[in-house]
Amino acid sequence: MPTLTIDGKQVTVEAGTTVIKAAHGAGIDVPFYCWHPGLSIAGNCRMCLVEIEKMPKLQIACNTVCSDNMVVHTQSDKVKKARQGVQEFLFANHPLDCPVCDQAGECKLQDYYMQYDLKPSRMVDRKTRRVKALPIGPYVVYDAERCIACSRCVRFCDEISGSKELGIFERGDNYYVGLAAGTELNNPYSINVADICPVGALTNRDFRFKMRAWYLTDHESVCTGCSRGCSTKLSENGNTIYRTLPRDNEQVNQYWMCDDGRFVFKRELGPNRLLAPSTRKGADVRETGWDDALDALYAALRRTVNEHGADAIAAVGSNQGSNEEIHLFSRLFRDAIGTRMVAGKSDIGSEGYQVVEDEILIKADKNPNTTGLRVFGNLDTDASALVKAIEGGKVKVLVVWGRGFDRVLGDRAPALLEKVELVVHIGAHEPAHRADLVLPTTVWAEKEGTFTNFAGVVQHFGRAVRARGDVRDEVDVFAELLRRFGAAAPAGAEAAFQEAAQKIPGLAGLDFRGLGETGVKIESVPVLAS
Amino acid sequence: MADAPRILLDFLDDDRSWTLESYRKRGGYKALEKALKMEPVQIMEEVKASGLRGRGGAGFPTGMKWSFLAKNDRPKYLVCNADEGEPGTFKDRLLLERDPHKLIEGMIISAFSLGSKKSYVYLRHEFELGFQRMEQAVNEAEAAGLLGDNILGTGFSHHLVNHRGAGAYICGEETGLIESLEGKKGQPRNKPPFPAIQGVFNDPTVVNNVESLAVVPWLINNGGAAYKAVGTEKSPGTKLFSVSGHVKKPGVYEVPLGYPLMDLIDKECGGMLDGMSLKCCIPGGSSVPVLTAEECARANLDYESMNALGTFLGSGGVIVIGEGTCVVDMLANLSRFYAHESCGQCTPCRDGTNWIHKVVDRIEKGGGRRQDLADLLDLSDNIMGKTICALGDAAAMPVIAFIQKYRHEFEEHIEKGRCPYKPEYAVAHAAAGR
Repeated sequence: MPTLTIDGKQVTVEAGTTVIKAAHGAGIDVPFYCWHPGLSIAGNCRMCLVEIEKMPKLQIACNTVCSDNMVVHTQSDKVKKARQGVQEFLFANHPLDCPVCDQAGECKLQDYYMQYDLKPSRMVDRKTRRVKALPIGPYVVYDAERCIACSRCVRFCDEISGSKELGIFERGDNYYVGLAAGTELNNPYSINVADICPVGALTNRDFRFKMRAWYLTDHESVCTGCSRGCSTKLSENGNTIYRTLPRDNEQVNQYWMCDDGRFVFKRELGPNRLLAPSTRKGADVRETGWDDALDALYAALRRTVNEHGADAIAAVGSNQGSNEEIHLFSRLFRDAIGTRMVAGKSDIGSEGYQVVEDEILIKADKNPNTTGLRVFGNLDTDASALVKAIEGGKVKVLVVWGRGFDRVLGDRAPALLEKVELVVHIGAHEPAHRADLVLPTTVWAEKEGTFTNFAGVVQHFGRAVRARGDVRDEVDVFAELLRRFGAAAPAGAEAAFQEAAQKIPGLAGLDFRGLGETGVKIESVPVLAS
Repeated sequence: MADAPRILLDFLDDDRSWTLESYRKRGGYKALEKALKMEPVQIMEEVKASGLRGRGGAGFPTGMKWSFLAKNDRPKYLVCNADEGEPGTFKDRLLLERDPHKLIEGMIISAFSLGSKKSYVYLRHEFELGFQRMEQAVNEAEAAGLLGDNILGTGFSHHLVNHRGAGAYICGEETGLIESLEGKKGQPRNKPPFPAIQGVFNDPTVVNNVESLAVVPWLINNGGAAYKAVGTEKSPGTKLFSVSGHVKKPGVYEVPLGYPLMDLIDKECGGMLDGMSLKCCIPGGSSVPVLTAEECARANLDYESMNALGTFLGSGGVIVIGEGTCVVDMLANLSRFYAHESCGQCTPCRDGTNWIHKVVDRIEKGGGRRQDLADLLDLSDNIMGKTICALGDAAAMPVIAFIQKYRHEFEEHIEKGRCPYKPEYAVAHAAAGR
């Protein structure tokens, strides 16, 4: 454990720690372009040069390992001049097209110019021209004039995606990031290169020219694209989401996310949204208010329990739902109504995905909270008992939460549902199957909650946008029904989570607000039924 | 000069000096026989005792470099840097073309000392003849049992591969060379780790210059002490100097270190061309600071004397420049070279060398501004010591030296708006409407 001094501050670090990490850990700013905590060290940008006593030359902090009694200066005149020099060199051939550059507002060149340079340009000669606006894959476009050759993108494709499409070609200031012969940048993680590009050289084609970065507000979220549950942020302006970015989370997704995950918000927020409660008879759809809809549902449930017993009610839970929702869903049907006909199910299947599962991040289970179904709701994902009851005509009321019940039943769905008197759909999207009563709800980006990923990491997600239409959070819907059955119910996601954490042994000690930005791993993750 | 030993250039009188037969006649491979009977560490001790300093340019003691080689179970590699690309330097080329067996013998002996079973000669792409001669020599040596498995029946095996570069100056930098040798883009590595710890294929590697390795057989035959007796105290031995420029007899000369620069020009090279006087001289390859005629008169060709004059002995590429030569034009030429050869990996070198070239070229072509000289010095300072490898320094040093020593010529260009040495620039300048 070497102890060193950085800017007069004594720091003790693990053996093998680099100076840049030690400095950052001590809250000392050392600027960098090419260094990235998730990639190998390239040492090419020279922005992190620091002065180390007894060394004649400035040293790059990213490639210098801390040793005992090392004395580092990050603010000396020599260091400041070196940084200014690097900044000036990077700008020498830079097109300064910030007004039309997507990176503007979140560009390291801009930030560091303000922090470390602030000099007018001395460059009066013709700038070196290079290729601009070149699509290099379905999602990424390249601008060589903005490129600073930091090689982060190349290292990402070599070391993380393993697809090795990119290289830096040519020499001197003729360099450009190019594709290996016969390839394009179409690996399942390609958009990460736009994220890690410190400048505007690689940008996301989907986001391109849509919104200036400074108008966007990033909302802490979790990807619902698969059971990995990558930590994300949703960039929003004017109640519209423009893009998804990964958040750093060592225990879940490190610094990355897959391309499919970036577009989940389009699927969830986009078409087929339900906007008001309704009663339906074939093609005849009548919008109702929430009070009427809940009254009708409560009346049907109560009557069915009285006339046929609780098991005549069947309920299907969703692994797209949050832990809080699953908890209240379970309380409502299991405890308050008392039916045994409760099952969880996979809301979204892996059909149609280009990559079903890989060794990097992508999981075959395309739902964010299958673990939550087990842990929070004690819900078996196997719906066979329930299906058998429907087949036998024993189920009078079927409450389906979320999409995909059709997927579970397959071709038999229409015929099976005919045997049920009342089919209730609770969800955000138009159901594929028959529904007599429809209660529209919010999607994850419109509310707050928690998911438990495949490895048992419980993560909090926040609200990014307000829902349109007359829709409600599931937590409120289930709580309202619980109250109608005479049970006490928590108000809101936080209270629901706290209640679950008290009731369920596996969650003891968890606190909704204490999950932090990266979540908390629960100790024992039950094995899921398939 | 008659009393100095011919350590390297002993083959000049032989018109088929590259053959094994010729080399044998000159006592070739006797040193190998002797060395294979020695303890490997004894060989290293002889090299250390000789005081031999790396002839590639840095002048780092060869024996010490060997001693840094990691002592572990990994394979060890010996690499000969034959990517002689420093402008003004052509001494290794002569050795490769005219005396390849000397290098090969030196390499086998060195490899035996280092415990290396495989070595590579990384040849500059342009050395077509050198490559052919090396290939021929390797074949001859293998056929004669001097190279390959079980050399001379001693049980020591060593294989040597000639590997051609693809024409990049930067591959003369030892880690850039290693990257290229591994089949990658020739870009220098960050150090540490140094090649002695992680070199070729991340295994311990010694990289030595052709001339350094070619000296080894002589050291074994004559002993390190005999070598140490030649030259100066801190710069022992002889060295090859490649002399080019405005002299009567340009070429490669072997002189003891410490030899006066003016003697090399006046005696060995027959003096300046008729009607020309010395203006300045770049003594160690294009990267080192230039010496004025007055400094040349005080200059001795050894590492310490050169350092005292603020320059370097470097690779021994002596570029002699006569009066009437425009130093701004020269610098424009040099800076174009470095901008073209910068590998483009690290920021200060990639963008700095190109920027410098644009400015110097503009001054030479008549578009200079008063501010340019201060800017050039500052840009050079922003490159020096801040890059991954020494190319940045190599590009910056000539700029600083030329401007410091010939500022008046730069100012004359700027004031007149044209190159005073080339009247045609004034015409071109006017035609361009600037």
